[in-house]
Amino acid sequence: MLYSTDPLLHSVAKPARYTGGEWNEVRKNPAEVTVRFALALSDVYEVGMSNLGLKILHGILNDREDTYAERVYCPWPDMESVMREGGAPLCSLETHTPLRDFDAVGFSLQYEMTYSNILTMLDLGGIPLESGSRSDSDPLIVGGGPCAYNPEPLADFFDCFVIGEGEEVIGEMAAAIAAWKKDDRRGGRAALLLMLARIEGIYAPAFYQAEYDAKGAFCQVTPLMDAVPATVTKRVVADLDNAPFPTRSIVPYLETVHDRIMLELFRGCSRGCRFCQAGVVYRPVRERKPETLLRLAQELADNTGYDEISLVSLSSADYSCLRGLTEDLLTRFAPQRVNLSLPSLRVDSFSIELANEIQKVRRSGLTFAPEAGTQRLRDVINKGVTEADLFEAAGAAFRSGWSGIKLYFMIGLPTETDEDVLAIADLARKVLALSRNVRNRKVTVSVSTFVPKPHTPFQWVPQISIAEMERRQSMLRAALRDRSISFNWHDPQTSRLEGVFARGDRRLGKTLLEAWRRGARFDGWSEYFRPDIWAEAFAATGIDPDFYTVRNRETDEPLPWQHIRCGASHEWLVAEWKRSQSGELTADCRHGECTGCGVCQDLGVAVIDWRVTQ
Amino acid sequence: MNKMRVALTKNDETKYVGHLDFGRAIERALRRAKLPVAYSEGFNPHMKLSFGPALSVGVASDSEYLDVELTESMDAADFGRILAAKLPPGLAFVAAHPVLSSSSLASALNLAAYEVTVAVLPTPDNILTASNAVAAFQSAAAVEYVRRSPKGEKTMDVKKFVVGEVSVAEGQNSIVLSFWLRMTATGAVKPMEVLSALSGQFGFPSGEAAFRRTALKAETSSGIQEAFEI
Repeated sequence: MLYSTDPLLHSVAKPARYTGGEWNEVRKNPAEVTVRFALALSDVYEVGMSNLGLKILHGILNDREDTYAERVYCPWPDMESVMREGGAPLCSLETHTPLRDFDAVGFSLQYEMTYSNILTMLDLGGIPLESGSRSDSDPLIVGGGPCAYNPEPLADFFDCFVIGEGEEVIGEMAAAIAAWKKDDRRGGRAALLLMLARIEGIYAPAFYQAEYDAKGAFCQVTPLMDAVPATVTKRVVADLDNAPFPTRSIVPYLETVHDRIMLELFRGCSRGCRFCQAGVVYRPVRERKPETLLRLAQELADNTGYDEISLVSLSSADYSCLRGLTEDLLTRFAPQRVNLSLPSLRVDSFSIELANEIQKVRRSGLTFAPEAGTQRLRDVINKGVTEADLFEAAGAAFRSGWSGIKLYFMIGLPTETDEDVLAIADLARKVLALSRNVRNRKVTVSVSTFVPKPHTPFQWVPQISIAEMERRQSMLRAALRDRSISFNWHDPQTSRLEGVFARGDRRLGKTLLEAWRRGARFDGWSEYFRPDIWAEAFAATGIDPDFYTVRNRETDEPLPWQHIRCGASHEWLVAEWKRSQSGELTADCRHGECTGCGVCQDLGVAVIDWRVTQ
Repeated sequence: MNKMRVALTKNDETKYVGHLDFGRAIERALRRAKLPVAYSEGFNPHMKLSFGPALSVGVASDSEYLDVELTESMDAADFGRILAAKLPPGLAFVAAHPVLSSSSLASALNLAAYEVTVAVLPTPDNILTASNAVAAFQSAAAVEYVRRSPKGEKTMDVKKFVVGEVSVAEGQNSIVLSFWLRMTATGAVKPMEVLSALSGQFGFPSGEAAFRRTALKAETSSGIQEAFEI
């Protein structure tokens, strides 16, 4: 982003965030390509470099001869301030090109609390913040990733959003830009945008209007012209096994959040936890073949020199051929001194056996996610885990030499009572009791606050208020006093703001802009988050955050994201919501019967599970 | 024991890569190169590498040294060629020689030469100011410098660490300082701190400065040795 000789770097923390030049960095001559793409993530380098989706898109775009994709992340506040003093624009890491000189800047939207940083990056990059103010010479601003499933709060700032998986559509987008440029940009920016808006999975908000009733309730988002679809359906890669998975990953100098090989075993998860957005929008489950994974793992190890392969997926232990795959990987990679890691464990003894096999060094603890303290509430959220499962898994872990166990829970789930909250403490103490003879035993209880997300069976439920979050947290804190138990919780102000933007509408654009102008930066980082700035911004723009969070929505209320289709039907989401209220479980469709979410039928795709297939 | 001593440069592109990150980058390069590096025993084996004295962040270097223990003997030229192909763009291979000694590079290499290029026009006036500042610095009995860090303040006598003369030369649109610093078991000063003392206390003209470590040597009771000789 900056030449390392730049004096601006002398006074900032971790200047290597800004200098690029890592192993496997892609170098092309920008003069020899038609399309210049900047792939962006609105968080600091160490977070941005850890995103698997961007790695995949980076590889696919750079495999095109007509395209050069570079990287850009958000400067840390110390860097932003020296850049502003020195008048330095935000530039790509590779060729130090200012963002305004790209054809397209694509943001991966991972977390609502990084939205203000998008504005920082556009502004420092010399790009008008609002899409309506951009001219033909400004880049196209594109958003994608999980938060694009409700793009409305960002509609003012983005030219278009890609809904769903990017492997195929990113190439279609690059081809459209190339064709438009070769045609002397005929029709200007509007013509390009219209061309893109007609590609399946691309939503260009400027071609749609949001309508509200006299009381200010949201009514609908409708197209302003016949040429664009009334609803935009997600893109999904039917054959993941043959989808591109780049193996020339960039190897950073700085230690990043995920500083290891990321091997994606499968996409999707159909366990059906009712709070989980990823579990709905990434459907259906599609596995890669074990032989494909072995080949990819070897290429990645050879090309990067990493000493660890992380088997990533939404629930890696559910991979149908996991036992055979880990055996093959261990046989091949142990002599090469490359370790394996499993980031997510199921609450069962199979997972402990696997963890024992692959992690010879018991340095970190094991993590389990019961999510709720009582069986009643776990049934409400469809988390198919029992207390007996947890005790069996935790007992096996302690007996195998693990001294620490981390337990993930949520508070604020629908129907939660004080009894459910206190049961978290009870469960933690029972788990601790299983470690009686373990030295330096430690149980970590990590409790986040439930944020209802679009496209889930809980998309209609009220989020609990800040006062209620604080009350339940302090109740739990008091119940968890034990020197072998450590308790982590989420900042209520952060959870509330995340909740506002998760289920927000287009009117929040002006609040975001106002908050950014007043200094909101790195809202996801507690040391920079300023709830006072956001309170001022809500007041100044006449927005009541409670409208988006603590209010109950009827299941027939129009929702700001209903023109975005992820394939799961409204009827199924309502049915799941009703089942949750009676504590009825819904089985995983992966090995059993179809549970009727509608994704496969609607999108013409199928569950791919290689053990079932073979 | 098969040990290979390697010299690398760290250029302007990688001068902000800290010592630990540099070490990790070398490990990954060695793994990509599939060189027969020896590992320690135990549950958590690690590569048997030892590095020379840490370079301050922001300083480029013509002379970073490390020792790599190998499981088999290897031709130094082959080793160098294979490693060079797998080094990231900002690290360049200079030389490799098999070594027999078991002495630690980090403590043996106790003399470092630095070149500091200060972006000040080398007009006769500026050169005179610079030379006067350096002369005054040289003749001072002690030069106190207060190092401020999050851990607190530490006062050091910079002169105790400067070996021999500080030279001033005319560069391209710049004035170039060269000096040797001694590293001791109890501490060392950074080249930035020498410049800071020169400009803060002796009126050396200030400007943006680029730092480069140009050599590392070992001072022993029997004289001064090159890194490949120890």
